[in-house]
Amino acid sequence: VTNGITTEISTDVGAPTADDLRRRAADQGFVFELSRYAAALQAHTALRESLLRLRAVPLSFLEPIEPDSALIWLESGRVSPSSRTESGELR
Amino acid sequence: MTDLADITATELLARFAAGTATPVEAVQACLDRIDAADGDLNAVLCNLGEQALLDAEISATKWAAGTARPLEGVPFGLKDIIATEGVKTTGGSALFRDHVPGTDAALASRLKAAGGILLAKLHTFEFACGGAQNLTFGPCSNPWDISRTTGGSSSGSGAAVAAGEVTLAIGTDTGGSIRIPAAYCGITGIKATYGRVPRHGVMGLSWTLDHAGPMTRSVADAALMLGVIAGHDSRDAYSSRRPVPDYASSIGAPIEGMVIGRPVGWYTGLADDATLTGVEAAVAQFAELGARIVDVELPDVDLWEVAAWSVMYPEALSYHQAHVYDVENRDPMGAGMLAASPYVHAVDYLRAQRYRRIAQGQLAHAMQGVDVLIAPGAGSVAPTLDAISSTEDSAQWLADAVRTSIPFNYTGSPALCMPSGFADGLPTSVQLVGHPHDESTLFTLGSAFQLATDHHRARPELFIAA
Repeated sequence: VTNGITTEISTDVGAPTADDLRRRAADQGFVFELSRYAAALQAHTALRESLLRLRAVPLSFLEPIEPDSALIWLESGRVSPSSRTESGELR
Repeated sequence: MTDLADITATELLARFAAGTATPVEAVQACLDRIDAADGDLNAVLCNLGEQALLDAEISATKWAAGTARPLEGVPFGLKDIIATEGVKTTGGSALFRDHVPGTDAALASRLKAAGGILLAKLHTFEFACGGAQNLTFGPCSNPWDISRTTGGSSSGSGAAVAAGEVTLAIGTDTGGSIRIPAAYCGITGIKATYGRVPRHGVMGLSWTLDHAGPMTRSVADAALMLGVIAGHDSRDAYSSRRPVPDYASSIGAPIEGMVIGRPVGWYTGLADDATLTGVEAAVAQFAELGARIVDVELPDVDLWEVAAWSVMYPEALSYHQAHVYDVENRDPMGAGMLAASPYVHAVDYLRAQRYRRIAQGQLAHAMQGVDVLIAPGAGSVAPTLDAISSTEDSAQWLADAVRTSIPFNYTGSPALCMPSGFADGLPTSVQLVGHPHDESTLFTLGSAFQLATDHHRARPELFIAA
């Protein structure tokens, strides 16, 4: 807890089942052949351990980074150490 | 005399300038190669030879008048998700089989304005994600072994450049779709910094991961082509406003003292022995050329990978929501991907987008004092088409194949893929990853490597002129 705000989320709520996926797809108006749910589950299960770790990474509340922050940072650019000549000009 | 279909754009332009070859001869050489090879490869979806020959005659007059433009008379192809005015742009899909755009994509119009000659629209995985088994147009085969995949999704671009059907091509890269086919086909490909090349007119897959870029036979050609297509276009909301450097001036510059970071413990578990051997040989070559090699750590790179998927699934579904009803008629890999897309929670998508800035900070930290990172372009040589034909096999191939490439779609970093050698007659690959908007350093190092080696000069034996 930081400044009264919980920054680490409890994520271990249990992996979804194929039937969970079927219901979630249906809620969005999608219906797939049954084999698709098993395949989707396999794909997401392979990523789940990393996803749980990603969810546990604290993201600042008081100094928020927003979805476009990364793209804005890219635009600022940063050249490599060898990309400048002795006078400091970009090679 | 070397077949004009087999030389680089840089060499072709030199011959045009010297008067020892003409654009008409170059276009005809590529058309002859298409006639000879494409029955086996299936890289060309739309042959524009008739118009190309007319355009080549105009280019010849410009050379004669001394008004040649940067790509004057050089034949090129476009992945068929890139809009071309008045020319079918299918997306590799039956859904767009007869789609004829009313305007060129920004990059297509820039290539034409630079004197390039559009010769062919090229095979693609359906909507840049459908997999090697294209149900509408058939599979595209690798020129080094036609039983094997080109990789993708820029399948035709990889095959056509490697086989001499076009001199230059454009591919797109959301998780590795320029670099993987470049790696499998033994050519050079660059995914420049996110936003560097405008994507106006390019069918999207994931708007915060999508890139378009050159696929060529040399680093010098990639620099030449990127210089033409890079630069702001207001029709792409994320198009960079930064000025475009003179990339060509970075070719052949000395690399003494440059620092190459080798990420320890990351890619060694993601690549086969032949690929790792190729990377180590490249490392040794760079060291011999005067670069300094240092080990670096990418501690959370596995999180970048899952974050990238957490971005790609919902963005792809958002683009293709109207196609889900017919998902069983989509190509196997794309159908599986689309059917796996509705399960990323909104909060996870947003976390992945916010975490991207942290990942960039981690990468910048790892690259402090380092000019580029080195890694495999793809983790293996090209697998057989049969090995990745089913939905299940293609999904596993996709998950594995992008593991050395997708992290840099996520960070938006520029990444250059080059051939590093051969294993059992198939190309292996090496990738250099740079700082944002520092493609010039990639070109300097890549061109030094290609001046010292001849991997990029190898051509598939089947198509070498007698």
